[in-house]
Amino acid sequence: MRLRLVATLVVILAAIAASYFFGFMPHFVPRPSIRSANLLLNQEPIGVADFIRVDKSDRKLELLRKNEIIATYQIALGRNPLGHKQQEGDKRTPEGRYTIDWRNPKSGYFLSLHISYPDQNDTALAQNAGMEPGGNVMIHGQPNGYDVAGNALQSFDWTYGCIAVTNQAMQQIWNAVPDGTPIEILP
Amino acid sequence: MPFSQAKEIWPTPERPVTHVRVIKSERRLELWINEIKLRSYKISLGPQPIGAKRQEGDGRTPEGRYVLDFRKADSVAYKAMHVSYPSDYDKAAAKIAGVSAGGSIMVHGNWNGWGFLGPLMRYFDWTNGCIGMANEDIDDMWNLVAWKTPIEILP
Repeated sequence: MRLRLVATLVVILAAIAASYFFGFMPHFVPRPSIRSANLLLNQEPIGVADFIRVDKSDRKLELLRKNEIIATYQIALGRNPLGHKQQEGDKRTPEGRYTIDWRNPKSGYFLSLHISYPDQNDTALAQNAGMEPGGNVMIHGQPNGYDVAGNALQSFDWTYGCIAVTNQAMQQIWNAVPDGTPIEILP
Repeated sequence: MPFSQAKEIWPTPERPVTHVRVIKSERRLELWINEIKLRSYKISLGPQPIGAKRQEGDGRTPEGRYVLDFRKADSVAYKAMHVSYPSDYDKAAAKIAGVSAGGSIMVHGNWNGWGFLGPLMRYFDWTNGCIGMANEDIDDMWNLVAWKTPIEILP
């Protein structure tokens, strides 16, 4: 019994140490509310969505069909969650209206859907400020090899500006969202 | 910097107008260099000035972040600068609603032949969803704003 407890602790500490080593969680960002990631996972099949709405301050991603919410997921954001992304490396998540323009089934994170940031406006603004707009903003699951950590990563903001969900949620979103789906990201 | 002093600043290729901001409810169009407001013009909107454009012919002006991507000196109105509506998002959203997104949204001067009414036209909404300005204002803006300047249109 005690051996099992010690073994569990060792495994958890090792996981945290490894994630520091790989740079996945250099610091914790406080967030408005921590909810169980499973709480919002929808068990029934949801069909196809025609619109995605992300509420950054609520850490919520909603799939809609014909203006009705068909699924809601809890999300994790970048380590700098407030404000619209303006330049490469600011670890912000863009705000505004984009589309899902392509997808990558073999990314470093479990399944990823690409958000069309930067658009013309983002590129022009960054150029006028003498900066690079950055890019590669995705909706993705957990980092590969970290699925053992379960949904623990979902309790804080750990990405580089992407929108992260649990692997189960990612599989549902992947199946429900065709390329070209509009996405609105609210502050 | 006070707005009156900002009028003396002239944008250069090294220091261009960084963004254009339109505030629909206040009927204003502003030119900004970073944190300095360079100009503020009175504008006119379309027959449906409230709400973002969703489809062709709704008479609304789009809201959101776009780019002034090209300009036309010989359109039906005096000097026109094109707003990059519809974006991919606008097209996708219109497709879901089963409508056409529309387009050809311009920042332009008075209709050709109506320039003599000039400043009078500032006081009512006379466009089809475009952003209308007095001829002398668009002349001024034409010389200050470079190609591909970002424009943000607020409600």
